[in-house]
Amino acid sequence: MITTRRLIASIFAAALGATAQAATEGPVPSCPATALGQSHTLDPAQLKGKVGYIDFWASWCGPCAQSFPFMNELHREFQAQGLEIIALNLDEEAQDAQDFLKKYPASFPIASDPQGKCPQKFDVKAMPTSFLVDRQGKIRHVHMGFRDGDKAAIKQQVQALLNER
Amino acid sequence: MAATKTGPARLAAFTAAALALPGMVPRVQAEGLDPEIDTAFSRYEESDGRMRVDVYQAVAASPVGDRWNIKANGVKDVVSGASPVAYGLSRGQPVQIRSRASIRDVRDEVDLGASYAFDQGTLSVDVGRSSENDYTSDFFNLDGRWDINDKLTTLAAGFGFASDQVWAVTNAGKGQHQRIPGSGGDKSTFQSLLGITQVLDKNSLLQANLTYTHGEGYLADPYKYALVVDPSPAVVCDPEYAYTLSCYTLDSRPSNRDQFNLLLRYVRDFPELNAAALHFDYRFYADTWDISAHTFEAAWHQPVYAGWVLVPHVRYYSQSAAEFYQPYFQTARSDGHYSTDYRMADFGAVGGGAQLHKEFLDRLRVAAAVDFYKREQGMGMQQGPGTALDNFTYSVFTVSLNLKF
Repeated sequence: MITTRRLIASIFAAALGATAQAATEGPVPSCPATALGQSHTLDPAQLKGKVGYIDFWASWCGPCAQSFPFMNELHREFQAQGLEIIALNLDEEAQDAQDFLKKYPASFPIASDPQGKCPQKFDVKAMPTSFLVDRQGKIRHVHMGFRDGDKAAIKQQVQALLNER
Repeated sequence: MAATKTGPARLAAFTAAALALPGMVPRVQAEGLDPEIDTAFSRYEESDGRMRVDVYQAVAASPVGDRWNIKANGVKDVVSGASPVAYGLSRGQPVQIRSRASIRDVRDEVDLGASYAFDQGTLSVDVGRSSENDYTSDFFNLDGRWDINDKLTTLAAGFGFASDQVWAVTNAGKGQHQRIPGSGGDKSTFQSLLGITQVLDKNSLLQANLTYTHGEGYLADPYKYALVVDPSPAVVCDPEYAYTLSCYTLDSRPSNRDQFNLLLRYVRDFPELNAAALHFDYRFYADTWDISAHTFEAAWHQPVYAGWVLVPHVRYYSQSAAEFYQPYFQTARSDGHYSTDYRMADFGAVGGGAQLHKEFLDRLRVAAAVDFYKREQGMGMQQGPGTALDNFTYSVFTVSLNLKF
């Protein structure tokens, strides 16, 4: 039995009652996850000179649903300049993720991590959490939660990292 | 419902509950004059990729001398599928977080029983153990039946005790499991029963059973979590913005529970209709967690042709919610009790099915049964808290063989 405690703890790899603090800053962890419904793997550590936007989400998470249209926007605006989005899904039931994606379609790659190994490596403390990774493979910004008011700041950070050579 | 068990021990609860439903599974009751073997296979399956349980059961029973009968019973349940563990919120509406059962969760149960027939009745004793990787139960039951009033009246009394250990476990691989500290515990259950069966006339009887159950210890579900939107000013959980660990608290329930069950059964034979019989059951349930429930069930036993008997039945069930149940909580509770377990919710259910059985050569009895059940938020009589996310249907298919030697 995969335990929920592990599920929850891995989503919020933190001690009970921990307040939201920025997660690790440093080299992006390697965490190969299977592309949803496909056989190839996606690994945040294999982005080779691109800027990475690594997002952790689940079907049951309201703000995650709000962030999907925004990620589609990011993908459309910045993909040509070298932005790679990987949205890691943490649902244990693949069907739950599929149902979510019918309602909130994604133009960017989705990877599946039903065992919750990646959030532990990334020390994810909230859902959703997104990590911005520079072209050298270093985590530069961590965003916990999502609301519409965050969009402008995130876009600025993405643009700044894309401008670094 | 049988005493609600927890976690994946839910499969024990499911199957126990499923098996406890009359007419659903030919419940093995061997107390005959010949050695006999009873076997049954049931498949219990819920809609929408939820639980699936395969139940294998075998019983061997034999008389010993004139007055003793001994039996050995074995049950194996194999479970798979997903079950709800908590809720999130999306645009103000609850959404389900589900956890998948590992490929094979298995429950094994073995019990041994003996009964002694005296001139005026029977005394039976039964001891057993049920175990899963995260749940063990050791149980003991003592039951007596006394016939009085020229056997027109039968009195029944029973006492049972179960000692259980419930723990959430992590799968350490290779079939090894480790208990997770802090999620689980021990519980004890004491049950007593008083019953009376009264023959009304040559074609009808009335039965009343009163059961009182006291449970104490860890009575929660170590696999379920409650979303508490605003635990305290110090810890902020705003599901419209972000989920943090402080949003979730482990399922927590009072450490005592008293349950009362009343069963009223009316049975009437119709000799003029090829020896058909009507069974009507009403059950009332109430406990100290504020849950009350009503069950109405009717079954018609119709011999049809050449020893074939067809038994259709219908059932309606209504349950009110536990006092500490909500799909999710807008504020913290002062007593610290939280449950989002769908079995604690307010709901109604309708069900029905049929059993077909036939006896061959007075030695072999074969039976097949099918049962359907539909659980619906809002179908209950009391319209209390619950969520339509927990609506589901299940079906149970059963085949069984009984062979006398």
